[in-house]
Amino acid sequence: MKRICNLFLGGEYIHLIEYIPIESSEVMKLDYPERELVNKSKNGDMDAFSELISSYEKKIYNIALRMIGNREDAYDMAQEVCIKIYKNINSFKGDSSFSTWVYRITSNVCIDEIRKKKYAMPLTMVNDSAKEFEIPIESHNSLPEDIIERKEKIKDIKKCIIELPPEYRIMIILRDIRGHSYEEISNILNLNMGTVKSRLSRARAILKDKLKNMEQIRNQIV
Amino acid sequence: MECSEVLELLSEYVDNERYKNNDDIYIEVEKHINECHSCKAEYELLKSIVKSCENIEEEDAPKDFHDDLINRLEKENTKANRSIGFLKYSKKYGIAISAAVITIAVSIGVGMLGGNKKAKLDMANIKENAAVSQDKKVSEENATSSDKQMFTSGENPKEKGGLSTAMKDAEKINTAEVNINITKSEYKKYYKDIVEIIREMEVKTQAQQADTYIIEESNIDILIKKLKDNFNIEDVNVSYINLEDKYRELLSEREKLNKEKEDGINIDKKAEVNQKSIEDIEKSIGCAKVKINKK
Repeated sequence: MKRICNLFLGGEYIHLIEYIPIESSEVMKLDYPERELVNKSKNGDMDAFSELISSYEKKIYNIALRMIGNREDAYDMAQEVCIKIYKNINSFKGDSSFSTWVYRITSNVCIDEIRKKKYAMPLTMVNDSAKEFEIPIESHNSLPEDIIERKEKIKDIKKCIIELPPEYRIMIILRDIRGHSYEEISNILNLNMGTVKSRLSRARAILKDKLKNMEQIRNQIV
Repeated sequence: MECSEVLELLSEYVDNERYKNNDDIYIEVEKHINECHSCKAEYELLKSIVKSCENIEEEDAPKDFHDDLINRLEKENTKANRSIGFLKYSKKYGIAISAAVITIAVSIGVGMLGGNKKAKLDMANIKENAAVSQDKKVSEENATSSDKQMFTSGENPKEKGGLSTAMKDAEKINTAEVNINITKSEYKKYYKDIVEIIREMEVKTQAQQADTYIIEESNIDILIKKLKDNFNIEDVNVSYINLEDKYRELLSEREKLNKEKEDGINIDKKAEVNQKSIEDIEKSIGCAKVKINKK
C-alpha cells in the first residue's frame, strides 16, 4: 500500500511516495465522517479516498448503466468517472455538497461519452439480471400474468430510455429512477428550476410516445 | 382551466402530489383531472410510467470494480511521480527547492532505487547533442543492485558546480539516441549477441519499431562498456534531443484547450492529439533509442 505524501513548498504540492506494508486488501473502514475523508483525500490519503469513493461506486455504476444500456460500457464509464473524481478532487471547493459534485461529474462524463460515441441506439440491450426473474414476495397475491406484464413493461421502459437524447435521458434517470428532487437536479446539472421542470416534462413526453409506439408494434405482431 | 394548460403542468403535478402542495394552481389541476376523462387518462398514464421507472432495480457494481479502480489510481500515481514529477516542480521553484527535492530523492535513492537516479543526474551533465566518445574516464562505484554501475565523466567542461549544475541540467527534458556503428564483419559475428544484451535492458512498455530498441537512459553507459569489453566495438554515438521546448509548448496548448472547452468550444480532436503528444514525450523521458547501423 502506497501513501502519497504531499510536501507543501512554495505554494504547490510536491509528491513523494512512501511505502507502507499492507496486511489485507480489504477496504479499510476508517469511520471518519465524509468531510474528513474528502480532506484526507485531497491530501493524497489513498485509504481515505478508497473509502470515500466506495460509498458512491454503486450509485455511479447504476447511473452509467441506465445511461448506456450495457454493463461493459457502464463499467468503463463508471471507472472513468471515479478516476476523474480522484484527479479533480482538489478542485472541489465545498460550495456544493460532495455528493452533488459526484453526481455532477457522473452526469457530465456520461453525457459527453454518449455524444462522443453516438450511443443512441445500442445493438445489444442489457441482459436481464437474475433478480428480474425472481418473483417478488409482496406480489404473491398477483397473478403470474400481471407479474410478467410488469416485467415486460420495465424492459420496454429501459429500452425507450436509452433511445432518448442524452440530456433528456439524464433527467429521467436522476428524477424517476434515482429519486432526486427538482432542487438537487438543478444543482447537479447546473440548470435553473424552470429548465429542470420543462426538460423533465419534455423527457417524459418523449418517453411516453416511444412506449406507445412500442406497444403498437407489439400489438401489430400479435 | 383548459386541457392544454393542465397537460403542460401534468409532469410537475405528478411530482408535487407527494408533497401535497397547496398552491392554488395545483388545486385547479386536481379539480380539472377529476372532471376531465382524457386528462385523467393522461395523468394515470404518466403516473404509471413514473412508477415503472421507480421499479427499475438497482444493480450491484461488479465485484472487481473497486479493486480495479484502486489499482488504476495507484498506477496513475507512480506514472506521475517518475522523473517528470521532480523535473516539472524543480523547474518552477528554482534551484533551492530542487536541491531539497533532489537531496531527498537521492537519499531515498541510495536506499531503494540504487544507482538509477544518480546516474540520470550524471547523464544530464553531458553536453547536449555532443557525441560521447569511448575515451571518457570511467570510475566504478559499489553497486547496490545487481548489474548497475555508475560512471562519471571527468572531462565534461560543463561540470563546475557539481550539484547545482546537475540540477540545472536536470531541468532539461531530453531523450537520447544511441547509434551503434559496426562493420559488416562485426555485424555478421556479433549481431545476435549485441541484440541479446540490448534486449536485457529493454523497456517493454514502449511501442517497438523494427531494428530500434528502447532502453533506459541509465543503461547507456553499461551498454557502451559491454560493447567495448565483449566485442571491442567503440564506434558508438550518443546524442541527446532536447524536448523541453516542445513539451512546454504542448503544456501551454493544453491549458489553452481547457479554457476553450470551458467556453463551450469543441476541442475533442485537438485535445486527443495534444494528449497523445504529451504522453509520447513523457514516455520517452529517461529512455534511449538504440539503433545498430552497418557502416
